[in-house]
Amino acid sequence: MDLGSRDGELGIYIPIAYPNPETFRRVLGESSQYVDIFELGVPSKKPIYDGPYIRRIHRSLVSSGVDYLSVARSMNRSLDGVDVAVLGYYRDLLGDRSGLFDELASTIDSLRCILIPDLLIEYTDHLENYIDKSSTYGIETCFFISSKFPYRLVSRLAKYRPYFIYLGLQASTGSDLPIHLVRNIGVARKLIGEGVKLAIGFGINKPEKLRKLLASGADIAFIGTEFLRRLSQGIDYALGFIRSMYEALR
Amino acid sequence: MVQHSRIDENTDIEVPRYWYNIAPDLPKPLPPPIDPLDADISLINRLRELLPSELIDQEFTFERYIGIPKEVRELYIEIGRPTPLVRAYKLEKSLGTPAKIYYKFEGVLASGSHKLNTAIPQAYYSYREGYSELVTETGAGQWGLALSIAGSLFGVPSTVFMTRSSYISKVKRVELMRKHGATVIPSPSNITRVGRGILEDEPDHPGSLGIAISEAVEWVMEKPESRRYLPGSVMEYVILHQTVIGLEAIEQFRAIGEYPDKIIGCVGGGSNLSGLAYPFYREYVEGRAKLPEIIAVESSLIPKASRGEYRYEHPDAYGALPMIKMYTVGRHYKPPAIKAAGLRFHGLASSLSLLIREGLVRVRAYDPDSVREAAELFYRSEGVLPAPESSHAVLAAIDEALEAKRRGEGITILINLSGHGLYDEDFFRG
Repeated sequence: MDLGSRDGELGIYIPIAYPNPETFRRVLGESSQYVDIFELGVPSKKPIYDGPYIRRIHRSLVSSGVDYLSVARSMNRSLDGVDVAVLGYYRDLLGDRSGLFDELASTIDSLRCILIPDLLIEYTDHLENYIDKSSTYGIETCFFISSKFPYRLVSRLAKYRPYFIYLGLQASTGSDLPIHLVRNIGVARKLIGEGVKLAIGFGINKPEKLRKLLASGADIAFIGTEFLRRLSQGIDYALGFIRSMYEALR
Repeated sequence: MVQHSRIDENTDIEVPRYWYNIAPDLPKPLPPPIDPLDADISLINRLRELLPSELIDQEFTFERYIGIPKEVRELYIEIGRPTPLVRAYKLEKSLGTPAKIYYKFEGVLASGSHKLNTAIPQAYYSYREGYSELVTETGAGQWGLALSIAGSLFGVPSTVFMTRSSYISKVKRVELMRKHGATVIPSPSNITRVGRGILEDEPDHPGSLGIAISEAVEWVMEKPESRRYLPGSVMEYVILHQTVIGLEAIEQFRAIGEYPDKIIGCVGGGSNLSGLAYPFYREYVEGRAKLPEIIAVESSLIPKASRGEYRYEHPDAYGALPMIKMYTVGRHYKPPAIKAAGLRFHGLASSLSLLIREGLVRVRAYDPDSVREAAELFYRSEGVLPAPESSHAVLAAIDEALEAKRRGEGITILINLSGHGLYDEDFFRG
C-alpha cells in the first residue's frame, strides 16, 4: 500500500485478539490506511519488558482463553497487505514445548519478521537458531536493542541485514523517563549504519514527539501503549489518534 | 635506605574530564530494570519522582563517555582528586612476597572514602534542578557523610536514614553528618510507614540497607516536588561517576611503567570495585592492554555473589524501586550487624553481576575476624588504617601476594583502598 511521501514509517502495536477478535480485526482493517506496519503481540503470561498497562492486556487475553492462533489465521484479509512483525517473548515462541514460531510464520501472509525482545538479553546463545528458523520460513530477521546493548553486538546485528533493528527508547513500554532520546537514536544510527532500518518505540505518545524522533535518524516508529489506552475508550478515538500521527509525518 | 611509597608521578596526572560507561563494552546486553509482574503502577516511571532528571538520563545513556561538568570537576580537585596510587612496600616486605602491591587510596578524600566521587555530581544535579532536600540511606555512614558534605557544598541539606546498628556504633560519622546540616535518622524509624511496620514486629531490629532505602524512598514520595532520593551504590550512574578512580589509576600506572595483573575491591553494591576496574576493562576491550584478573570481595556473612542467585530483585526491602537483574541473597535477607556495614546489602549492581556471571570477575568471601587481622597487619605495615569494608580487599591482596610467593611470581596487585577506618573504632575493637 502506498501511503505517499512521508518523513518516516508508522507502526502500531496491538496484541493479537485484543480487545476481542472482532474488534481486533476491525482495528486492523480500518487503520491499514494509516500504518506501514502492524506489530502484533503474542499474548504472554510473562511480558517482562512491558509496563503495567500492556501487561494487564496480556493477562486478560491469556486468562480469557481466547484462541489467538485461530484469530491470527483469520486476520489475513483485514491486513490489507500491510506488513506485519510479530512480537513475542522467547519462551512463548521458541520455548521447549512451543511450536508457536512455526505456526505464526506459516500463517500470516504479509509477515516480514518475528521480533523477540528477550532473545539477545536472556537467550543470546540462541541467536543463530532464530536466524535459521526465520530463513526456513522465508521471513527476514528483526532485532530488539536498548541503550544498554554493547556496541559490537549492535554493529554485528546490522550485518545480518535484518528488516529492522528496534531500539526500545525507554526502560519499558509506556514509560516516559527524561532520557535524551535524540542522542540515543543518533548513537544507534551510527552503529547500524544507513543500510538497515532503525525502528523505535516505547513512550511515543504525541505527533510532535513522533516527528522529532523520526527526524533524528529513525525510520519506523511504533506506537503501543498510547494507542491501546485510546482503544480501550473506543475504536474511533484510537483511529483518530493514529490518523493524527499519520498526518504528522506527511 | 628508606623507600618512599608515594609515587611522585601521581601529581602529574589530571583529574579525568569524562566518566566511562561500561555498557557499550559489556560482553552481553545489560538486562533492563523491570516492574514486578503483578505491579499495578510503573515503578520505572516512579523514578521520575525520585531521581534528578540528569541522573535518570545517565542511567539510560547510550554514550560510552559522559563529560564531567566543570563545576563537578573543580570540586573533585578541591576535595582531593587525583587520589594517590601508593605502593605498599612495607606490607610486601612483611609478607616476604615478590608481588608488588599498589593501593589507590580513596581515603584521602574529604569524607574519608570514595563515596564523594558520586555524592558531588548527584548533589550538583539535584541543586541545579532546584531540589531543596537530598534524601538517602547509609550503612556505615560513608555514603551518608559524603552526601552531607556534597549537599552542604551546594547549600542543600540532607536527610539520612542510617541502619540502626551503625547509628549506634559509628557515632563519629553521625556527628560529622550533623555538622554538615544533615538530619540523621536511625532506620528502621517511626517516621515512615515502612519503619513503623518493622518496629511493631521487632523493636530492636538492627536495620538493613534494604530497609533504609525503602524508608528514604517513602520520605521522598511524600514530597517529591522538593526532595530527591540519591543512592550511594548499585545504580549504573553511580558506577559511572566512580570510574574517575580507574581512569586516574590507568594514567598513574602509565607514568610508572607498570600495569596490574590483579584488581581487587570489596563489594557492597559494587561501586568501588567497578569504579576502579571498569576503565581497565575498557583498555582490554580496545586492545590496549591485557585484562587484569578482577576480584570482588564480599563478607561471608552477606554472600550475595558467592552463594546468591542471579535474578531480578528489588534493590530495596519493600519493593518500592524497580527490579534489577543482579546477584542477590534476596531483599528480605536480614544481614547480621557486621562492622563493615557498607557491605550489608543484599545485591550487587547489574553490570558487575553480569561480569561475574560471564566469568570476567571472580568472587571471594571472607569472615570478619580474618578481615580484621588483615587490616591490623596493613595498619602496622603501612601506617594507614583501612576502613572495615576496604579491609576485605586488603585480605584478598595479602592472599594473592602469598600465593605469588609460593609460586615465585612477581605479579602486580592493585586494590581499591576505598576508605580509611579512623571512624570505625568498633571494628578494630573486635
